[in-house]
Amino acid sequence: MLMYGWMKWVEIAPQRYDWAVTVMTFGRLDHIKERIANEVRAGDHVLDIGCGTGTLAVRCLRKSAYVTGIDSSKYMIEQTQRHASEAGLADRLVVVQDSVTQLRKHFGDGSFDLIVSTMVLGEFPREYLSYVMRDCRALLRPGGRLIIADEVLPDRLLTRIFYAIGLGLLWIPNFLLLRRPLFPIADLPGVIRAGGFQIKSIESWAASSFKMVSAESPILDAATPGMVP
Amino acid sequence: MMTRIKDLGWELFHIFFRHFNFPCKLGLINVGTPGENSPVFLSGNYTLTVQRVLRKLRGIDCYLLVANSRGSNVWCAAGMNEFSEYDVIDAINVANLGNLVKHRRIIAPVYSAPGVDISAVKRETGFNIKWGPTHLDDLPRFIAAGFKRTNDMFQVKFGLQDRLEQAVSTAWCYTMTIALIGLVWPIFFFTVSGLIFFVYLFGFTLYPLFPEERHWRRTLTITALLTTAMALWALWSGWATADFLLWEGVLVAVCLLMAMDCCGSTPLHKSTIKHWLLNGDYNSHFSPVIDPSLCINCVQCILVCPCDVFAARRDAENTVVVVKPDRCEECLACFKQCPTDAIFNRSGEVKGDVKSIPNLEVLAARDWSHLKSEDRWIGAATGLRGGLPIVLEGRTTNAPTVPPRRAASESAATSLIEIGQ
Ligand SMILES: C[S@@+](CC[C@H](N)C(=O)[O-])C[C@H]1O[C@@H](n2cnc3c(N)ncnc32)[C@H](O)[C@@H]1O
Ligand code: SF4
Ligand code: SF4
Repeated sequence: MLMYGWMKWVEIAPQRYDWAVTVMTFGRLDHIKERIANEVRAGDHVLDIGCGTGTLAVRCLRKSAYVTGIDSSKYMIEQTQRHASEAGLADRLVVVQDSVTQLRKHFGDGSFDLIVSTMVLGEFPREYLSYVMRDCRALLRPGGRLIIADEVLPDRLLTRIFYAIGLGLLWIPNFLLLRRPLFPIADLPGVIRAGGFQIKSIESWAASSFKMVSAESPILDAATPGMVP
Repeated sequence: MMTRIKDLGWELFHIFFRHFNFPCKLGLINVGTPGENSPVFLSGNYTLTVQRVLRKLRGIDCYLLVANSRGSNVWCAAGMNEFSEYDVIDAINVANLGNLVKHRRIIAPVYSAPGVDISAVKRETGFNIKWGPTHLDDLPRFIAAGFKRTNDMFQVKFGLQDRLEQAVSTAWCYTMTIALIGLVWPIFFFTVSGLIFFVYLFGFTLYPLFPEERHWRRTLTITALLTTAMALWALWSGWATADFLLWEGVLVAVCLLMAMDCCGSTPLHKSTIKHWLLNGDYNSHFSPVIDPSLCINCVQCILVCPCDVFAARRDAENTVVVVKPDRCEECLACFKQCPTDAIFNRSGEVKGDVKSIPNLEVLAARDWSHLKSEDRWIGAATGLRGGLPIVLEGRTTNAPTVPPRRAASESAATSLIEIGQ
């Protein structure tokens, strides 16, 4: 009976995503999405990796960008589309249902000015992230930007210990609400830098357990194509 | 010795916390010293499964590809859209498997079939998914047989060990839930917890001895047995009537809890609480029937069904038919895998909680009135040929060829658990 209720709860979880995310991040995420959208310039081609219900994508559309959302969940893709249509902005939105390691199957090199992703990549281990970063580097035009916001492992040992305790306490609500095991990344900026980006800014929240990293794809001279080694 | 103790400690820990997810690291694990021709096995990233598989693979040079099942066991995850073709594709991409091995074959737990669309994996990565044995314990035999499933490796079993683990992990969840009562009323808490453990262990250990759940028969039998035992004990030790009534109430509540757990503790389970309350059985909503004009005879449905629902026709025609629809436990693996949507649904309904199949509700509600004549295969005699169940045509009768529903398949999904590799 308990298990059944629990399953039901999970089953309807996607519909509760938006508020579940808001609750789990104490409202921080909405603020961060607003900040990210402020970086968008009119006419930019933006890729939102793991677009979810489209809250960030719609914000970017409002800034007159062309937005491509990719997400592996059909339900989420439909939500993004629905929200964009409701805002009357669906004509500048493209959605793709596929996974994060498949980016280069869909988009050509240098096809985006900005790549954003919030609360998606934190689930993946370092090798996956490096893979995605390499792809992002190829997909961004030289001088293009990458903004990633996610849960990370805090910088200092002592905070890490407190964080581990907090995570332990949050584990059950997180599990019930989001269905997303948290694997906070250690050294997110390092992974991004290793992908060939120049870090522009790093901002931290909640005792450095949540970071927003803004990076730029370096402008290469004509001799080197925009490819990654 | 130390590893043995460590293994045992982990096993125990995981038995108690079976209903929680314990993710382990994703990626490719080298078992022994694999090379470019070594076999590749797939697993989800549930810690216990990976540990068990690695133990089974000891001494074999191979790769184990651990893909993201969100820390849950594969069967659960696949049924809840938490382990899909995308997770397998990601794992293949990141491991750069295509360059690592020469062949293009991955042996996957058949329990991933409700979630992993093998044609998508093939299209995106070039790798063919081949289904392994249903039970992880059969892996060594599967390998020894030249990566073939033998006849006994298809059906889901719900053996004593699975049942005990299921009983303990579920009872443990309930005792944790009522733990707060222990702070104010410890004696009551400990007695109730003891009772929960006892009822679950009793019910699950003796599972095959109880009658099948038809008109609440099993639940009533168990409740009556335990009530009688308690009444005798109460008489023997001279309980006050009020005490007896209190504990009888608790006992009935726990028995009810167990009955309802049997219908919904997993997303793959065959029934809903509502169905059980109204009908007194655990039959699934989904009831497959195949359209022979759409079936291309790929036999995927036979390969992925853990309940022996399908059989192939090999005499007058080469198609697959449904012979034992009442055994179905609605895992929807066949529905997910059928490349031509040839499988229709007699009931028009699904439980509605497997979400990795696009348009599930629409497909499951399609009109099947043109397939009424396909019911003639229900109960047909079957035999095994090369591991595949074949309809023995000409011997189709209404004779009692359908073996009594095995308790095992009836609530196999309760054991989603570890048999789900
Ligand atoms: C926590 S939500 C975040 C959604 C949105 N970015 C936001 O911040 O509100 C994570 C999203 O990532 C998607 N996702 C998870 N794994 C993915 C994968 N391997 N490929 C693509 N999308 C994935 C999920 O479907 C989900 O929509
Ligand atoms: S999976 Fe579909 S096409 Fe293949 S044998 Fe079964 S019913 Fe026929
Ligand atoms: S027939 Fe039922 S049990 Fe067999 S694969 Fe299909 S849904 Fe699962």
